[in-house]
Amino acid sequence: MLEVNDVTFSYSAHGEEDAPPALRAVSLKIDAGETVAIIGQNGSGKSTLAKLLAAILQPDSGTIEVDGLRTNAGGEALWTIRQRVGLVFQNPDDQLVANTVIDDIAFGPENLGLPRFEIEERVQEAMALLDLEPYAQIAVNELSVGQKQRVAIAGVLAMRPRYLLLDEPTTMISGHTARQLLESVQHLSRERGISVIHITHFMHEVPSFKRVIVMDAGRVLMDGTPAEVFARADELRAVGLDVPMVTRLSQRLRAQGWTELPEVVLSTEQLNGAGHLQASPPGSAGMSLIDTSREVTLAPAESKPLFELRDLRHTYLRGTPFAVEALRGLSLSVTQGQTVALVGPTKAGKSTVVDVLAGLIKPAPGTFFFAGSDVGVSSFDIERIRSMVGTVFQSPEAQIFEDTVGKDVSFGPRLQKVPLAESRRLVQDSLEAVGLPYEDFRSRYTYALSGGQKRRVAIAGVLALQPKVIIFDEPAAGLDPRGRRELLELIVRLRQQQALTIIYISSGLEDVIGLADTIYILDQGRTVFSGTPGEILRHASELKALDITLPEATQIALALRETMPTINTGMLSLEELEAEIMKARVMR
Amino acid sequence: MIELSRDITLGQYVNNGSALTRMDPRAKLLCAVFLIVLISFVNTFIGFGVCLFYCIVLQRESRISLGYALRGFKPFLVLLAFIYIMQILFYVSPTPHPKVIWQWGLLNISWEGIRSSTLIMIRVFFLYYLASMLMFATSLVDLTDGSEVLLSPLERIGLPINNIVMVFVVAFKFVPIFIAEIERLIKAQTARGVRFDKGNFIKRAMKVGPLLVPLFLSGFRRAEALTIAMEARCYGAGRRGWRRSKRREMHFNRSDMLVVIGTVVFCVATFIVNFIAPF
Repeated sequence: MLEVNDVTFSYSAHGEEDAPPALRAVSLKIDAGETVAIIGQNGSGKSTLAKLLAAILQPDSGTIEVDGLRTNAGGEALWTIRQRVGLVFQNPDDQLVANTVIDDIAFGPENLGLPRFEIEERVQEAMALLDLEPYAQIAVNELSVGQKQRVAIAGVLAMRPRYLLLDEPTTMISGHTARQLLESVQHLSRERGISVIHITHFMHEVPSFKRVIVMDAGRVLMDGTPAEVFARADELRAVGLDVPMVTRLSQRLRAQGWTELPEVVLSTEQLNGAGHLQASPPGSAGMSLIDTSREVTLAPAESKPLFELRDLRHTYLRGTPFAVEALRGLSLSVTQGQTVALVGPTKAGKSTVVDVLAGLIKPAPGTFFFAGSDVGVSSFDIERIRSMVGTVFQSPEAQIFEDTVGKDVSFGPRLQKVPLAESRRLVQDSLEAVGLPYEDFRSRYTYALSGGQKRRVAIAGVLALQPKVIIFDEPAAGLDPRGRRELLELIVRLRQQQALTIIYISSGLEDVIGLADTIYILDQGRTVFSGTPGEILRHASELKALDITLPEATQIALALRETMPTINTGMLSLEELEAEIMKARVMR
Repeated sequence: MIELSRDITLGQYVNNGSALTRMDPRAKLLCAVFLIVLISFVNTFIGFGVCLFYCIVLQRESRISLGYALRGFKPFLVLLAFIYIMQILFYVSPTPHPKVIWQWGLLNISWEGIRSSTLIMIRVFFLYYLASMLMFATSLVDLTDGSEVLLSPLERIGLPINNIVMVFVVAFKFVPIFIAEIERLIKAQTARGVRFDKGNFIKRAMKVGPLLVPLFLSGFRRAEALTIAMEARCYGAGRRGWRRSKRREMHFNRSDMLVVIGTVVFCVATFIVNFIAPF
């Protein structure tokens, strides 16, 4: 049993000045074999709790006991606790030590000083549990992020822990892979009686756990079953969280007089089941699966495309044993004023496309026209692209170079030798455009900002260069539901106010379906298909095969087909889905 | 755009299943040590010619393209050329009356100076080649396991070999991560208006400076994260009486023995040739 008694912890006692307490008087108990999801917005104290439980940090006051052993007892108890409580982090690159899969999994057991045959046995067992046997001798840096995360979990399992703590393990992996990972973890819990404690931002991952703990500002706000917690939707929203879409949908349907539904619906099976929805009369099943009446705003066809890529190829590390062909015949075109989304699984060539469109690499061979001129000819000045295109990279940390917000945003204008007054105005306008008041933020330290604020500063830094096009490279990764929503709203607002052309890179469709005019689906460095959001959703099964996460509304509609064959899966929002279900119900 | 990882090849392991990769790491390390000692002593062109013969065999056995093997040497060429010229110009002869071709104040060019500087450059080249071959053909774990065994006698005098080796493992783990990080920072700064591909050599070098602060910050952050992850997996450096065990077993078989003996014989032979060689 894990027992947390009245624990308070503050980083200010550990070198960070003026940090508010990360945990305030937290008490809770987790039994052996329990599966628990911990949710809370960024900075609510979830990760701190995980580190305290694994005896990496010690509480300032209060006690933590693992199977009766105090985490601050020191000596041998500390090592027993660390062996019993396995911790897996968000970024697998930060936790894999050795350079091949098998050696990394063996790292923990080797630290325990176990005899060779036992290490071998544990390593084999851990690899089998996570289907890693075929990768045993592969170098860790050749694996995808999802595979690395499996190695990280296997490395912890080889210690034979009783408690498995997962700190946002699915942030960096996409839909299907994330689901598989969670399924294997749940399976482990059932088979081995290991207790799983899963920290997450994704509400749809929560219903498969028996218990949910909601944290906010260092306190435990709620503690109960998923049904109990998700019944308090308004309170959750107040702390920046949300309920799964299927729960929201069912609540709306209940309000529409659909009283047969349980109060809190957690899965589409529940919505489908219990005979609430019977099959529609035969004959209507052949109806169009997609609502073709939905109006699509397209840029006028005669305007010349800003970017025109045809059959583009690019190879990294050319001429070495490690050459990788990142683009193999990619085609796309972007017209001025359009919002275009590029969506694809890992290794689809997304980041290479970003580099090409931002003028950071010159690809060859293939055709690349920028505003009508051929980029391939030697007389083309790549500076033309760079001066018009701004890029917001995946992690904002990589893009903030200065210590204060004002200095960082003025980085670009200063390099361009813009006069001081003008530069000041640009910084002010850019900061205000991203919703950060100038006077309030200009002298703040960049490292002390929250994840969402850092992203805003990064965007302001790009806006200060007055680009015509902005490329967003997975800007919402790692943000909690509120941060995500606010960021998308900001992008929509910027597009309207500044008449920008937007290129949005994403591994899932959720963020872009309501935002983009045209979506390109990429895989293995090629364009697989493209079209309007409505057209894209028609390819639901292909998208699934490519491991591209479908929007929640589409997932629900697809699952409801079982009992409502006429339902349209092309819905983009909750409201549309609700209307569609009501329609299907009337038809019954 | 700059693709650093294309040019920095040192420390890269090329797992192509060649005979060289399959050798026992202890054997490889021993051979490398003997050869490095040999190269440091050789001081005749004929001696280096014999060494070249050994390298040709090595190159064939490694099954790595010569172009790739030598690519990492390219960034040093400018620096080495500079050193070469300086050495010739400032050469101080041990003999009282050297044959001077040209003289101007302290600067002078003599046949002796050219000969000795050329030999030094050849020596540097051979050392670089041997070290990078060892890295190309040996995985990091092999390298550390091997050196741990070879260095273990030093534990008797109280050196924590186990920990020292782990420091190297972690340091090497960070090399590709750092390179990727630099590439990322260069891209991010280019996107914000810094022009790395414009201006002369000095101007470009000046632009690298501002990269260092964010690079080290992210380095520290990663190092801290890795420390936590290692501790969470019971790595207890400094813990009393703590000792890691090993999953891997090394096999020193007959062919390894033969290679080591062959190398020793070669080294002795080359040494003798070098001793009697006229130039």
